[in-house]
Amino acid sequence: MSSVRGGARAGDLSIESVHKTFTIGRRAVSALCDITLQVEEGGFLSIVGASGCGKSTLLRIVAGLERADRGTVLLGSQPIRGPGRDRGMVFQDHRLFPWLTVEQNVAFALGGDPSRVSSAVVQQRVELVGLAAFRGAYPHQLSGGMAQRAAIARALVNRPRVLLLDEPFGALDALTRIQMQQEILRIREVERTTMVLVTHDIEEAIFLGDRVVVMSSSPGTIRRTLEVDLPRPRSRSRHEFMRLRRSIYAEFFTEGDEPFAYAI
Amino acid sequence: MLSSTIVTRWLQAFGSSRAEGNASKRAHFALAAGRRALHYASLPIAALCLWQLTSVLDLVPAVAMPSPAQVARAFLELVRTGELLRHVAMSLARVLEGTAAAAALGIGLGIGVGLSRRLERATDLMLELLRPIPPIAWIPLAILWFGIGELSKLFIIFLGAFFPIVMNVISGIRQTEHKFVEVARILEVPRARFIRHVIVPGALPVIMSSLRLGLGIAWMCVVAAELIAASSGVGYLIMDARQLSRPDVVLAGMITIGVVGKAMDVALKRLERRVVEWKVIYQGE
Amino acid sequence: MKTAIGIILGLLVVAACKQEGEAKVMRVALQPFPLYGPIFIIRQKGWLEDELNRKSITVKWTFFQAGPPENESFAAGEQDVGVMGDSPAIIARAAGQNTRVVGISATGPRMLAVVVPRSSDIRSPAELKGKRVAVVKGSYAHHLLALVLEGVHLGFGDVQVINLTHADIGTALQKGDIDAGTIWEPLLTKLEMEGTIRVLQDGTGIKKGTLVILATQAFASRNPELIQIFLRLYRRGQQFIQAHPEEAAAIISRDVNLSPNQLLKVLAKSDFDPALHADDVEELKKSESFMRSAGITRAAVDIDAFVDNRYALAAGVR
Repeated sequence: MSSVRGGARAGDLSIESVHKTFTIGRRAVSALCDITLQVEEGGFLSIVGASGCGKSTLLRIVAGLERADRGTVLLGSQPIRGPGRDRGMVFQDHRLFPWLTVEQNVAFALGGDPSRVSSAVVQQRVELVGLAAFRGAYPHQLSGGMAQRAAIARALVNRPRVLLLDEPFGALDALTRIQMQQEILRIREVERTTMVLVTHDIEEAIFLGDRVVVMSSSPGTIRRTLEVDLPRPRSRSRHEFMRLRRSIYAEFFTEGDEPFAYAI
Repeated sequence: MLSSTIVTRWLQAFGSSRAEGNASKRAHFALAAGRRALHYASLPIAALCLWQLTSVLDLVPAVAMPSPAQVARAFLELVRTGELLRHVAMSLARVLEGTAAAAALGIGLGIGVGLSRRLERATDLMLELLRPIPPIAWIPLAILWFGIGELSKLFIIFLGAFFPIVMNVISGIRQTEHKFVEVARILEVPRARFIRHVIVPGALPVIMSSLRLGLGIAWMCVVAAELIAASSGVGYLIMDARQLSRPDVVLAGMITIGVVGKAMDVALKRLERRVVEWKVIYQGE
Repeated sequence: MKTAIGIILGLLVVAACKQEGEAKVMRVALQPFPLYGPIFIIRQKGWLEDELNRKSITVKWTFFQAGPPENESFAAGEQDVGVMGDSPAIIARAAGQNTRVVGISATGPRMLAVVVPRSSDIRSPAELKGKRVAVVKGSYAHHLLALVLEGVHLGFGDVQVINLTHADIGTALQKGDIDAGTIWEPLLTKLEMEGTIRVLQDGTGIKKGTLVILATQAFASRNPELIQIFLRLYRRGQQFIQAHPEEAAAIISRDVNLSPNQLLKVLAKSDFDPALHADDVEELKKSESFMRSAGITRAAVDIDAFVDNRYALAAGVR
C-alpha cells in the first residue's frame, strides 16, 4: 500500500513500515510494529487507543522528537529528520513559557523579539483562538482551556503544514473539552491545516476525524481504520455516529458480564 | 491557650462596642491578624520568659549569662550612642559589596557551567574541593594576600556568598524543563535565543532564591570577616565585647545580627516575588 | 499549663541542689607563654600532683591562647586557679567575676614593647604620630602603648590604632602592613632574633608588666591550704629557674613555642617572685585607672579588695 511519491502534495503525510522499540530496564518493549498510514493534505486523522499503545510515540516520530528504528516518514516528498516549524505540535500540558504573556508566547514562536507582539500575524492568531481579551495575561492567570487555546495559537503561527495534537484536551474538564473540540474544527475551517490527533476519547476521535485509526498495544499495531463519512457539523446523538462509536468500542470491550475487560 | 483567649475576648469586645456590619468584619480581620501575630511571637516570648527565669533563679552566674534586662540595657545604650547604627551600616556595606561581587561572578560562571559540558568538566573538581572550606578558614590566607584592609574582609564575605550562588545557578540552568526544550526544538529556536529567552528566564526563580541564600550566608560570615583588624561592624562589636568580658553586649550584637538578617531576607523575598510573579510556589497550609 | 508548672518546679529543684563542698580536683588555667615560667616547671615536674594526690585531689591543666578565652572559662565556672596578665584579670573583675589576685606570676618591664619593622625609619615614639599602630585591645600591652605615647605627649587620637590578635600583629609587622605594633614574649624575642623588628620602647621605667595569679573566691575560701601550696610551689619554681637556667629553659621550651636558647634570653628579663609587694598593688591600680579612662572597663574595680594577700602571707611567701 505504498503512496505515489512523485505526486505527493506538500501537506501529505506518509508513514511507512515504521518500527520503534524502547528498552525499559532489561526488556525491549515494542512500541510500534510495522505502522503504515497516510494522511492527505487538509485531512483530519484521529488515532485512538488505550494508554501505552504507542500512539503518542508515533506522533512524536512525525514531530521529529523521536526517530523510528525502521521505516520512513515523509511530509510531502521530504523525509522527516528532526523537529521543525513545518510540523506544529500541541501537547497535553500546554507548555507555554510561564514568563511570557499569551501574545509574547505566540510572538516568540515567530522568531525574533518576543516583544514584537504588535505584529499582525500574532494578533490574528490570538484572535483566531478567541483570546483577544487575554492577550496580555500570563499562563498562570489562564484556565486550562484558555491555555490550550494559546498553545494552539502558538503552534499555528508559523503556518505549519501539519498540526499534531497529542491528547490536547485530556487535562480539561468534560464541558471545556467539547468546547475545544468545536474550536479546533472552527480553526481548521479557516486554516485548512492537515491535522493528526491522538486521543483516548473515542467520541472525540469520531467527532473530529475524517478517518479514525484504532491502535492496540504491546506491540503497537493498527487494529482497524474507519472512514468517518458523516457531514459536518456532526451530532453526537445521530444514529450513524453512535454506530461508529459502538463499533470502535467493541474493539476494546466485550459486551456482557464484564464490560470493562479487554477483548485482547 | 489562655493568652490567645484573652486577646480574642478583648478583640471581640472591641468589635462589638461599635456599629455592626463593617465594624464586625474589621474586628474579625483584626482578630485573625492578632492571632497570627501571637503564633509568630509565641516561641520567642516563651524563650524570653525561660531566660529571665534562669537569671532570676541564678542558675547560671550573671558573669556567664546576663539577664534579658542587662542585654536590653546594653542594647539601648548602643542605640542611644548611635554606635549600633554605625556598626550595622558598616557591616551591611561590606556584606552587600561582597555579595554583589559574588553574584556577578557566581551567576556568570553558573550560567556558563550550566550550559557548557566542557566548562563543567573543567571547573567541577575545583569548585567541589573549595566549597566545603568554611570562610573562616580562609582568614590567614586572606590576610597574607590582601593585608588587613577592607579587601581581605570583602574576600571572606565574597567566599561565603559565592559557592551557594554558583552551585544553585548551575543546577537551576540544568533543570530547564525538558518539555520546554522540546517546544524550542519544534520551533527551531537558535541556541542563543534559546539561552536568552528560555533557559535564563526559566532559571530566574532559582537564581533569585540563590541570591537570597547567598546574601544570608554572607551576612553570617560578617562576624568571621570582621575578625580581621576591623574597627567597626557588628562582628567587631561582638569580638570586642568578648575581649572585654561584656557578654551582654555580645548578646545584644547577636540579636542585632539576627534581626537585620531576617529583615534582609524578607526584603529579598518580596523582590523575588515581584520579579518572578509568574511562578506559583507552594505556600504551605 | 501543667507542663509549664512542671518545668518551673524542675528548675527550682536544680537551683536548690547546686553542689557545694570539698574540691576533688584543682583546675588550673595557664597560657603557653614564657611569661609564666615557674608554672611550666611545676607542671612538668609534677610537684602539684605530688602534694595534692596525698589529699586525694587530682589536678587538671588547661591551656588558653589568651586572656579573654581564659576569662570565659572562669566565667563558666570551669577553672579554680589561673595565671594571666593584670589587664584581663581586672577586666573580668569589672564584669563581675568573683576572683581574687592571690599572687604575682611575673613582672618584667622588658617582656613587652612597642616595636617597629626593622626597615622602618621611625626612631622615636614621637614619630608614631599619624601612623598605624597595632595593639591587642584590653591586653596589658595596651597600657604600655598609652604610656609610651603619653611620654611624647601623644594620645590614642594622634595615631591610627589597629586592633589585631597577637599573632596577626606578628604577621602584619613582617609584611609591613602596619607601622608599629605592641607585643610581648615570646613573639618579641622571636621577631627580634629573626631580625624582623626593632624595639622602639619597652616597659623599662614606665610599666612593670605585671602578671597575676588568680583564684576564684569560692575555691580559695574553701581550700585556703591549696592556694598556699600553689604559691609555695610557685616560689620553688622561681628558685629552680634562678639556680638551673639551662635546665629550666629546656623544660619550659617543651610547653612554649621557643627554643631553649631564645628562652634563656627571655627568662633573664623576668622576675618570677610570687609575693605581693606594695608596688605591685600600685601597678595594678595604675592599670585599672588606665582601662577605665580608655573606656575598656565601665565599672570601677577596688584593687585593695581585689588583692587578697592572706594566702601568700600564710604560706610564707613575701
